[in-house]
Amino acid sequence: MSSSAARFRTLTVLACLASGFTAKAVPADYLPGAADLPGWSQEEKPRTFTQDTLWDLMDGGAEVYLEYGVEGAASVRYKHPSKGNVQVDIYAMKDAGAAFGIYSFNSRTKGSPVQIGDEALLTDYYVLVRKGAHFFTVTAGSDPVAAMPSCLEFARAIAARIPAVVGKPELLSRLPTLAGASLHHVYFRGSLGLLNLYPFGDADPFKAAEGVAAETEGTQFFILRHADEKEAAARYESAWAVLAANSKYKAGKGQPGEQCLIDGNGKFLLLTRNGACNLIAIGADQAALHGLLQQVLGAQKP
Amino acid sequence: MHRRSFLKSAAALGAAAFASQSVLSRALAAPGPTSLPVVSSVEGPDYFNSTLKAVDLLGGMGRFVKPGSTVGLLANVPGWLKVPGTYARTEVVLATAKMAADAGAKKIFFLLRVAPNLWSRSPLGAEHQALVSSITEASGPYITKEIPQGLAIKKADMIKDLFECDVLINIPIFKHHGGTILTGCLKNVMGACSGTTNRFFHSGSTQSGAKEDLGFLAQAIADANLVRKPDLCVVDATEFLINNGPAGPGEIRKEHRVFAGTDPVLLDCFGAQLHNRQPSDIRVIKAAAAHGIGTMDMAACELRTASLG
Repeated sequence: MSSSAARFRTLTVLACLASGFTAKAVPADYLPGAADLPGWSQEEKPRTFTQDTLWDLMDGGAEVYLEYGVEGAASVRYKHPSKGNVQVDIYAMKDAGAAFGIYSFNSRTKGSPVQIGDEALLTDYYVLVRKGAHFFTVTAGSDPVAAMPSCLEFARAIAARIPAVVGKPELLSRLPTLAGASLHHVYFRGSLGLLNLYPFGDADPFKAAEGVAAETEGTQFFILRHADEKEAAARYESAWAVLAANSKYKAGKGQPGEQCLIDGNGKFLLLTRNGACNLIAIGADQAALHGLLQQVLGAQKP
Repeated sequence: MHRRSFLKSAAALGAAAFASQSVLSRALAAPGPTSLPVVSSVEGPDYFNSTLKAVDLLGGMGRFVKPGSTVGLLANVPGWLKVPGTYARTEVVLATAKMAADAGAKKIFFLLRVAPNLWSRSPLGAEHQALVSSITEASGPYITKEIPQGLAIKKADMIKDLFECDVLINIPIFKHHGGTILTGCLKNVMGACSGTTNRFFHSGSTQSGAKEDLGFLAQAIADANLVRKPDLCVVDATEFLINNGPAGPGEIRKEHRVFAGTDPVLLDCFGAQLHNRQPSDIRVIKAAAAHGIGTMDMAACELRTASLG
């Protein structure tokens, strides 16, 4: 779609919204045009994707996005005569929680927070942003030094177009307070999210519908929510059996109500239950991990 | 025993002996007295020379490529990967191709369509213009290959040239993959499969209600590796994604290392460690080892290292 055609479509959508007619916007509608960023032009017509065709954009990488609930995507490269090129990829997620989740998954990396959208991270060659029910990346091309300032401009322009939608996963509020540098919270909706955070084994023994994790350097805390208390209890027992049978773990001694293992890196893994949730604390200081579990058990309704 | 039966049996034995001859002669030709699988690992900032050294530590490309042979390169350099750290570096690919050419290969070709700018990603591409110009891409088509020993899949559509080259050299990159945690030698076989087959690996499980069946995917990849084991793997572990793979963008770790070997399972075990995972945490590795494609016993291998520093 040419930039003028895209602009016309965007204006049409905006007009429909103003008139009360609801036309659902698609990710391509949020791509900046020439008026937003003078000197920049699209190298090609934007590519658009649905859930079923996301493979064409990122091959097996689509698995994680599908797990979080991606609904569509748009991808295009922009060029500038003197500032190189940037790649823009915008993902429409099913809700703000999903956008938070995929952002939290992708932002487990070195970078600096920047004030764009609902949350954004600036790395050495790309920017990650979440706003409302959308997640997007702006990646510098062959010359990151020249293109990075423009990446931020692109990010601001795109964020300004995306509608605000409020919503953070409620489960996040149940996480304990972790001391230490580089605190990061992750929200996930399936096995891929969990297994990418910690290698419980070659498969997910918990199979929770959703979960959250708090991480600092050396410590991780997970809250996994199941359908109900009965399922949580069943998963607790089966997961414990699987973990205890895994030769990379050694048996440890836990407090009453806690299971304890020691992983291949010498870290303690404590497991306990709380209603429809299973709680896992991993780190080098067993007493501190016990404290975190007690913090959650004492503070929260199941 | 009747003469006819004897001759038939002798012929069968002879055929078997002949088939194993190439394996035996390779083992005997390995430098140094060892019956252990060998992995080489070379560290250094010059990735082209590191690649040359990595293969040299195995005994040289002449162990794998004989004069007049055709060489297929399964290199992870497709056009859809655009972020550095997601594809095998040009220096590694070029060095491998050069060694094959120097060993007397009569034809060298890629087993998949490569990125149009592959050779311009490094100034070495221009320096080796004659070699680069001689390397072609497989023309297909895909054929359906039966995999009777497969546990998840019984067949796969794979490019026919995979089975027609005398020597198969696998050139993956050890990078993060959101779906399988790690992609390396074993997963790289998907580069020789059709898009339809690859999607089936991801979505073909009959497990109802599953958003994804990671076990099926891992087993399918292991099954696909049964069709043809690479003669040589040259692995890019120079600069690779450690998150948000396979396409990125993500954090890039600069390990500055090239691995080489003939056991894709064993090599992937080294790859797992680069990503702070135990090999037993990577389902593809376990499934492939269970098939007998290679060994996970890293203690029972000979690791030859060098630093070009």
